[in-house]
Amino acid sequence: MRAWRRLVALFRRDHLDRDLEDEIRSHVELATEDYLGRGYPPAEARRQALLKFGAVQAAKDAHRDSRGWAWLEGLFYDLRHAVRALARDSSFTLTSIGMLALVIGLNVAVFAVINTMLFRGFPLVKNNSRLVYIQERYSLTNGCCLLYADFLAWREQVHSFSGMAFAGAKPVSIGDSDSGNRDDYPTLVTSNTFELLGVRPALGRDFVPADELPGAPQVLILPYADWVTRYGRRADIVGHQLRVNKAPATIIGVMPDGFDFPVHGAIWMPLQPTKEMLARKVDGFLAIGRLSAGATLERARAELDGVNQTLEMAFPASNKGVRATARNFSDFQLGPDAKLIYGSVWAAAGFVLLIACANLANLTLARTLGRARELSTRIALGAGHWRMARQLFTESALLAMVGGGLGWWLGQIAIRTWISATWTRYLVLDYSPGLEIVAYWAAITAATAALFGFIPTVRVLRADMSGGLKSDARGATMSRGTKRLSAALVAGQMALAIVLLAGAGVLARSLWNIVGAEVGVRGADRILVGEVQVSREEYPSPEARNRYWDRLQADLKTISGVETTTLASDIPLGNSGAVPFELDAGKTGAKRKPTVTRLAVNPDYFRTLGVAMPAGREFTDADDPAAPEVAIVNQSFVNLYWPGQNAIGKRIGFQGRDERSRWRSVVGVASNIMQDRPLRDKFVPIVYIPFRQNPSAIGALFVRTRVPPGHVAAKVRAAIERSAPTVALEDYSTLQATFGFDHDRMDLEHAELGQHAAVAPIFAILALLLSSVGLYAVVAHSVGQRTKEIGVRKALGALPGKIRRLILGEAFTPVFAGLVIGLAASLGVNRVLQSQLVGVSPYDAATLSGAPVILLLVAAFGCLLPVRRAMRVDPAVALRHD
Amino acid sequence: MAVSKLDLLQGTLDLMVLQTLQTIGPLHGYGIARRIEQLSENEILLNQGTIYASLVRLQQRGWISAEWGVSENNRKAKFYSITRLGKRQMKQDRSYWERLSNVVTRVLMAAGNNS
Repeated sequence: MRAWRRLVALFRRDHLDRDLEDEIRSHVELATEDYLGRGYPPAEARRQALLKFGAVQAAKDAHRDSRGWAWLEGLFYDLRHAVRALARDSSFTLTSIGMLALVIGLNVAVFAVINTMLFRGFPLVKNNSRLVYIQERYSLTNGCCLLYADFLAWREQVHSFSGMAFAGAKPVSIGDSDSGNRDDYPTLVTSNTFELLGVRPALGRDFVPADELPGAPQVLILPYADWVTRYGRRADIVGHQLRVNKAPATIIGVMPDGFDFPVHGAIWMPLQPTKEMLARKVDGFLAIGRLSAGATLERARAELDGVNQTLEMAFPASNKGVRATARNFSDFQLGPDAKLIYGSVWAAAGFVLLIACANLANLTLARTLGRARELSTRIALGAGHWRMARQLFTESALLAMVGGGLGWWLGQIAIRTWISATWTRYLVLDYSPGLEIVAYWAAITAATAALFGFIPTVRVLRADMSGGLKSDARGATMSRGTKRLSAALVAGQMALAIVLLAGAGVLARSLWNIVGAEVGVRGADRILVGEVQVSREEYPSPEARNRYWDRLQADLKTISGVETTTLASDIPLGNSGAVPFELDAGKTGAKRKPTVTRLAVNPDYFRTLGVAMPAGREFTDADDPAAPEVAIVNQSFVNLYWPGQNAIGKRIGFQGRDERSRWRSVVGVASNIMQDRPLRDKFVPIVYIPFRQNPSAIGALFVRTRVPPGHVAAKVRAAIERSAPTVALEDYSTLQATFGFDHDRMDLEHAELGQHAAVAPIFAILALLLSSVGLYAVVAHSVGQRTKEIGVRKALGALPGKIRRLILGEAFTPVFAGLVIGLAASLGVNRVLQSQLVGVSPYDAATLSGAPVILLLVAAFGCLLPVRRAMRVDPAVALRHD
Repeated sequence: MAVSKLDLLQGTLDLMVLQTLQTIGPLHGYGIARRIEQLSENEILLNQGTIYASLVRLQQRGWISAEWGVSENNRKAKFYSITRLGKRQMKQDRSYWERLSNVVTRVLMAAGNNS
């Protein structure tokens, strides 16, 4: 009630003031009459009345103080004054707000991304920090898969988990009277999976254990997006019937909006263990465990290892050397370097924020000193130092609030851009907005206001402002202490900028090394490539598939401008994955079976890609399922396993159905093509096998053209699309275009490097921009302050060169100091980045010498304008300068 | 000023204003100030203007209410009257004040006897 009245009083201030004045007038009139009644003469009566009343102004002030909140009124006053003061100084205000918006936006975006990468899990999952993602590692290859039988053993024997779930996938064809027929790749999950993750279906029911029993009726759960796009949110979706592999299946539920697991857009079916799965064939993708109360990841790992060792002894054929890898979400999805990568991005964003703060502190400091006269006048008129400090701080806070608001908006744009630039089907991340992001934003905005508002405020509290009132403007020049502070801020900015620049430099060179690497393909800009897929049901047998591919290639060759066509299981630079193999008589020299990259290719593959064959032949149409099994190896393979020998006729063994399909004779040697190395740093050994001997229903189709590919691209697409009723063409472009950084084609861990390297220059440019603005502000202010001094020097005959040296010398001293500190620091910082670098030393001389040069140029640019202004100072004007 | 007048203790003015309104009924600011001066036999140092800070304070606490009206000699004036809340508050303040002044008197008397 009281608070309300006070608040009302605050807003009805003018009205209440008038009311009081009326009351005072009435009071004095009443008193005057009283005195008249006691026999005073009129003038004396009024005098007595006024005398008795006391000071009118004091009464008004006391009235005002008791009726409202003095401090709130003061704040209003401060704010109003701050708005006016800032509006007067529009260039300062706009610069500061722009700077704040940029760095706060950057920091909000970076935090949101890092929060997602390091601290969140799959969307909507409850208590992600207690979830462990488990896969198995087979001898030399990376962990990717796991055995269902091993999962059953873990579920029984590992006590660190309160529950475990398993996820796999299998290709199916779905027949739906409503949405048509399609091939799909549903995720198969144990029935407890969603319960373990803590997510309930938005519609319908969850899986139950009975759904897992072999022979149980087929059921499936849709992702929300499927329900919206494929079924138009129809209300009767639960219970909808369709056919999976020609058998009836029922939709029993829809998961909530935003939930995807473990890839985007996959539908879910219950995992019904097959005989193969129980017979220890690799068949799963991922197991999840929820740590029970008190259990740790380390203990879970130890238990898993123990179980795996037992399994290794019991089932050497399938489990020799198989180890479980148990990881938290960010390690599992983003790899072990995620913390380092995103941590350093975070640090870089923090550096930029610090630079901006130093900058703003400097600008505000300069501005405060420029207002020395105003401030000292107000202090002389009785305003307290605290009052002045509060006034200055209000200005900083106001700037931070406006800048922070704009920054939030910029940050949201940046986050949206980041998400669309990095989206990939195989990486599910939770970017939903959260309170922690708002809290972080509020915290950095407040911290920024505190940081850059603090320094000028302290100076005012300590300064003796009385000098400002003297006729000379001496009080407005920088004191020695202030100058030192300002120089330190400049040096600090420069040091941080150097660190960012040097870090970004080596990362950019690293990126360049990857993009510019030799791939081994000639004329990639004349090759059209696309992923072509037909339905496996339509072409069930190898013969039918070969007939389809042959007919398609023959059709394409009739298009004028097409030179050759071919087919392969993957494109160059793709991640084809390694498989175990053996050499004749086990001559690989390794204890365990080594692995090698294996690609299936059609005839004319090397001709189409412009790759030389130093020995032997390409595959031909005769290399079909009926013909002897053959292989082509690349130069790296020969160099590694048969150095100096003739490879033709040697044999390579892969796991096969029988002894005959096990061994392949080498019929050719090809020059190297880059494959399986996301960082493109070396050519791995590759074994090529004929696509025709084991044709799949999906392949990368290559078309080399005689004319620029744009001329025939449409005809090629049309020919592909009419080749079969269910054909799908994806990722259609020139081969050259696929050589850039393409997230979907790189393994996920290293795709991060591309983003990292692409993001780093943004930070560096921002740092440069901020530093040059900062230096400009300091030098410009210093020149402005010294107009008179420069005028005097000129009048006394100082040469322009001398004055230029004077100003530049003063400006560049802190710049050089910052350079030295920054270079020393970047040696340390770059060492941390070492693991992320490809083909470039962290102490790369070109970068470490280039960064200071760039910075000096920028610094010189920042000084240019103020120096020119100094050179134009007219002594006559300067001496009159107030 | 030979003998200095009494300075007002914090809060005592508020209490006196309430008591005045309780006894006399609705009254304007000047009337209240005069009444307090008369009752205190001019012992209290009062700038009449200070009464208005007290009046607005009491108003905001909801202990008195105010209304513009006309005085006995036809002058426009703002009349204050005590509210129910104000009466209750005054009872409390009064008993507190009496206890306090009793204690203070007792202590001072005891000290006086010793000296």
